[in-house]
Amino acid sequence: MKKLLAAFAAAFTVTAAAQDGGLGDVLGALAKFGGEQQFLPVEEAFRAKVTALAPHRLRVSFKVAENYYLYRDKIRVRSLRGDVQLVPLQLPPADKIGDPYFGDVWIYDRDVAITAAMDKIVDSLPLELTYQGCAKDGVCYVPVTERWTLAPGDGAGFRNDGANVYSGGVDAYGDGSAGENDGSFFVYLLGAFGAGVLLTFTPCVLPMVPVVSAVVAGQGGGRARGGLLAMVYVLGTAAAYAAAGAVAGATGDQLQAFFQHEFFLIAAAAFFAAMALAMFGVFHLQMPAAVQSRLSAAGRSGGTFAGVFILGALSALLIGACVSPVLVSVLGVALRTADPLLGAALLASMALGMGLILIAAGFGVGIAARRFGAWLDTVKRGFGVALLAVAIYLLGAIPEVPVQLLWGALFITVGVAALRGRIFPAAGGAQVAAKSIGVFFLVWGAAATAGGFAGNRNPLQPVAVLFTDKTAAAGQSLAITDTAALEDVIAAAAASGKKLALYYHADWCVDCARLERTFTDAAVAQTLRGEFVFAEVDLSASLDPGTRALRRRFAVFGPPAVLLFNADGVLMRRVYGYRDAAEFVEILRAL
Amino acid sequence: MSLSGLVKAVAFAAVAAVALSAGHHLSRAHFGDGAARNFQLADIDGRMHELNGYRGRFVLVNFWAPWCAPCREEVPLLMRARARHREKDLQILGISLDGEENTRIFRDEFGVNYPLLAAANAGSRLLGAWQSGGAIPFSVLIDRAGRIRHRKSGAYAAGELQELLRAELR
Repeated sequence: MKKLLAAFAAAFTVTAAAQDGGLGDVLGALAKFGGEQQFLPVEEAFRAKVTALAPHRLRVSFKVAENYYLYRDKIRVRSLRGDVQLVPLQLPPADKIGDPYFGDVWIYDRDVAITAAMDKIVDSLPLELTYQGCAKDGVCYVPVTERWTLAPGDGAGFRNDGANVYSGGVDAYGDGSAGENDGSFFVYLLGAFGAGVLLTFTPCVLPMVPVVSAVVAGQGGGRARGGLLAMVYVLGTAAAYAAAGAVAGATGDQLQAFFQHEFFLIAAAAFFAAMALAMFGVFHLQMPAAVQSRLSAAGRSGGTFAGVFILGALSALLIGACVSPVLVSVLGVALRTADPLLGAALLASMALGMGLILIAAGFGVGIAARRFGAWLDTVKRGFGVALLAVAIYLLGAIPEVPVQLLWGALFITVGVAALRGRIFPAAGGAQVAAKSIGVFFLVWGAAATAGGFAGNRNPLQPVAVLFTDKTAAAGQSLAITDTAALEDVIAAAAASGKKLALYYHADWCVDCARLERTFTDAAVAQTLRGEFVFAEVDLSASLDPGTRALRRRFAVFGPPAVLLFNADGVLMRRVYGYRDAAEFVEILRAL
Repeated sequence: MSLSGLVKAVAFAAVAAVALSAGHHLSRAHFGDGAARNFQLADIDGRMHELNGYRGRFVLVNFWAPWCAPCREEVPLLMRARARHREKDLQILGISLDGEENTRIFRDEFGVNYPLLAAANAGSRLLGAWQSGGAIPFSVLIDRAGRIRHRKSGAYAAGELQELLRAELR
């Protein structure tokens, strides 16, 4: 461990020093990272908060960091609702400082709270807060504009919409050039790691636990060795993801296009189906004999480790097809800054997070096998079904595949197995439960099959399409082809007093196809038609400079993305990835 | 425990890779590298200045505003630097995050001897693009090839700018 730390420190110092030389600079940089940053980011220097005091009064409070101050005359709160006025703020007494250029200036260098009254009681009030201040040690901040909204139903709390805007519009109106935050590299890594841990519990990753355990257990050796093998497997996945992240960081996009390619989806689905068969005991899971013998010729124990490492790398790429929307959001910063190293570090960190449980399983697999015996077979078969479900889910992204029929087949098979008492090993009550489950799945499978012949693709609403009014559509839509048209549409929507939904899609984006079904939902379509201008941006030609400019205008990572603007033409919210109709309506109405 | 040499090697490589990328990223964020973002802005006399048009000489871009006290205190240092170096070696551009009127009043009062570009909105966008944290004064020194050599948040100390320019421009 000490050696590892030393290696880390050495490598870190070498690269940090390489570009500028001089230990002093490196130490300065470290100090900056270690929290002794010269100047706080503006949102930390003046923590603004808006709270409701009474139905018609609100308080704006600032926690002013030590050695920072706010200008009293630059604090402004403005209602963004035309029918509500804010009665001028009551400003507490401020301190006077002499300014050689302007004369006396009034400042707050401590926490300050300001009250304002509304001339009318409403349940939702969007407002704009502007403030400006300086650090006593020698910098001033560009004026900050924040948008806050009193959301209906959340009582006394105001919500910051996250649309913090420098007065020049650096952030919300950014063109992708907004500065990255220097100090947050490790925060990003930590976030990616956390995302990885959470991903373990998705159906894409969880079934891999027994698969890897089987491979590891198949190699023989003690528990420690099992754990080490699992670790090597995880390092293999980390290496593969790091490579993918580096490519994504370097090219700025393309990763999603790669992982959502049909060829890739089919390969991944085949892989998951094969793993499922192994879980059902159709064949014994181990590395192909040819590979194994060649590897063991290369070195007795090292060979196995190398094999497991390669297995990790390969399976990582296949699982990537399943989790690509998450990959892309984790990669957000790296994509925006086009930084391959950051991309590699982020995805490697995520892979390590995903591997945490696998490593634990590697160490524990011996114990589990002994204690649970027959039930372990049930669990294995359960995972087998889950793996088949993942395979079908992946295939469902390809429009030509009649996915609902596959779901029907899966459900019917599960139902039959349950009725024949193949699910639980125990007799008695468990078998009654098994029969009920069997009947349930048979009915569901039959419904799914019937819906499938009618062209439905959603197994959770197997027969919905039989009753849905297909004429519901999102109303008219504008196709935007260049940035000038984009600006025109935004301006036109604002001029007509309508909100704007900008939908970014691409041919190769399979989640777009899913999201478009959401748009045709009756409730979504009605809301969009009533209150929104709906416009589309096609990102299919992802390398075309014009397309890049369109994507970068609002720094959109990749499709599907829906950017929502309020009636003033201000970007309020970005929605990435698939949302179902209920979620989407919720988002639209909250705007 | 049968800890094979391969496991050690792989663990080492993984740690080293993370450390290398962290170090690289840190140095990049701190010292800056890569080409400076081009911009094209008019000064308060209406002359256009394009950053890429100054290839072949050093450019010191200084973000400031008349309302910013520490920025004002830095201006005399910049004026001295302007006087000390030949214009074909060093170009100083002051990007004011205030309106043209306020900027002109300031220029006339202080007799600023380098171009002042009044660019309230475009200026803040540039400021964000250069990782300033949104605070001014903020200065970026760009070399003859158009690459960022140095960034500085806050005003230069008296000898600091002189030292930096002497080291870089030699």
